[in-house]
Amino acid sequence: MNTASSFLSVSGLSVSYGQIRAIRDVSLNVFSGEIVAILGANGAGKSTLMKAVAGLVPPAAGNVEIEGRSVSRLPAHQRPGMGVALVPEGRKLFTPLTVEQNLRLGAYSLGQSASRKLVGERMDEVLETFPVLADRLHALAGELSGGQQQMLAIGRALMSKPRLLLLDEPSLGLAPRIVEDVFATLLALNESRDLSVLIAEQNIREALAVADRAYVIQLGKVVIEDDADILFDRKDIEDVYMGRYKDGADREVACDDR
Amino acid sequence: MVSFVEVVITAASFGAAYALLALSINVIYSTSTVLNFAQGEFMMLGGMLGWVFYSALGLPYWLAVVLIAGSMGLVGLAEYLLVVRPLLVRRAADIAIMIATFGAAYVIRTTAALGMGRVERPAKPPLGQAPFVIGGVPILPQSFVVIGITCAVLVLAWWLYSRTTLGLALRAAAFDPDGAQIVGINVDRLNAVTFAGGGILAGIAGLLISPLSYASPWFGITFAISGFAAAIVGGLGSWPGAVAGGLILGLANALMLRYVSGQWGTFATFILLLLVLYVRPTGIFGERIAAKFGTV
Ligand SMILES: Nc1ncnc2c1ncn2[C@@H]1O[C@H](COP(=O)(O)OP(=O)(O)OP(=O)(O)O)[C@@H](O)[C@H]1O
Ligand SMILES: [Mg+2]
Repeated sequence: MNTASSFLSVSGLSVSYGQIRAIRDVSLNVFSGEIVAILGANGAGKSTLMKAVAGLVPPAAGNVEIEGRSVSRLPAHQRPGMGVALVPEGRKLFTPLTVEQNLRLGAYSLGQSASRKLVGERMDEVLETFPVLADRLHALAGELSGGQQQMLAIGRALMSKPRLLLLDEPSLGLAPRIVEDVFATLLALNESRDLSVLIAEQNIREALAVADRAYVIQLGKVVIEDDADILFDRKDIEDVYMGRYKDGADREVACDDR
Repeated sequence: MVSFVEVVITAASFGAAYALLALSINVIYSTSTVLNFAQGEFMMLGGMLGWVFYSALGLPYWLAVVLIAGSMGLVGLAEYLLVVRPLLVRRAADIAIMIATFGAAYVIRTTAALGMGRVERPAKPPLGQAPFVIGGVPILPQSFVVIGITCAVLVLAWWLYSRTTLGLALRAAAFDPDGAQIVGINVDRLNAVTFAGGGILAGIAGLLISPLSYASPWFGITFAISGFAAAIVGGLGSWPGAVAGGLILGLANALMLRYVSGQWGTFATFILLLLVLYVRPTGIFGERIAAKFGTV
């Protein structure tokens, strides 16, 4: 594949929390317009990877590049300006603020110079994508249902008109039908506005159904990388979810030396 | 009747100064979640600098205000950069940061005492000493200055926090620093801004109240007790709470001053603080309203 069109490129990335090495030597690419899934069990390192791309945790080694430019030294608050928006695990909404205020803050990275009109246009687009939010604009974010909160979290991220959306377990705690809705919306956004998506999930089937490619991580390392439809048909994919996947001695050794 | 008007005016003017200090405490707390115990000393410095610029050097009052705002902004910023930020970066416990601000307060107080001596200096009020007479009670014009400027600051703060994107960002930064950063909010810079703002507010409070009391290196402690009590009685982080707490404590102090003795003001403050916290551990406007108007 042609790396020139790689929007996000992660190479040899390791992240530690004190003595604990959460991810080790992870390399991955997201090409422009792609939906890429990161699959893995609890504690595999999905959130750590997302946080590292968003700048919330510093890399111990390796590099994160956005459109060929290294952003490893760039603080988290400057990354939305690079076209990267995170929908974090647990959503991290500003629950004492209203839906509208949350959305307005989503456009914060556009700067104080961003006109009211521009912010208003963005908000209209987001409300068109998530019409339920339009009825709850003046409700506190903390008063929304789980599904509505997830939509608000995605909506808030979309306010900065990102080129890459990072989604950390968007299906967590949502009813299957709502999960379907959210994923269908992602697919539509991806098609209609040149939006690349990196999505961390434990909900393997759902994620593979929308993704173009997927990486499976286990104990902080990438153990499988393949096209989503190929992985979708693999019988042992559930083992990955359970953290039981084994593929040759080299990887087992790599895992054991943790 | 005479003593009633007297009590109300004393309560309102000191209450306004407490409210202003409580507000400055809230400004810093509601973004950085740091309880800055040096705020009383900021107030003291404002009073002392007011004495230097206006009473001693005879500069125009507006210039004294500008100079005090500027220097107190810098003092607040310096405290953030030298004392608080290094601890925040190292993820120190809240209590460690609080104690470090006690240290900062001590350094400021001692420096002021060494530089200016332990004298109580009468500060010159900008509108003179000639009292207005209301209901037979002579009232110093400075009382109206304190109350008026506090009201103006409150309106400004309310507008900033509820009507501007910067205000939203200040609240978001406190509520969820990670959530704030991922939408592009520079939390570190906002923290610095609130320390500067807290320094300015407390300094102005000191400047305003010093003609009604005095300026000395020690008056910061007295006011800090009332200011923190006001912020806590009202509900930490809550704007209406700062005002309510300030006025309640102003009233308690004024009643003590009028009917018992000035010595008992601090005693009354603590009794009130305890009573309110027994009934409402979050303070009067804590939590519920703070969530809406201020920050949590
Ligand atoms: N703040 C932290 N401090 C210390 N260790 C952490 C921290 N965050 C994560 N870890 C550890 O890093 C490893 C990877 O965690 P991470 O949250 O990235 O996993 P995950 O794949 O997102 O899991 P989940 O599906 O449960 O969200 C785990 O072993 C976890 O215990
Ligand atoms: Mg996770």
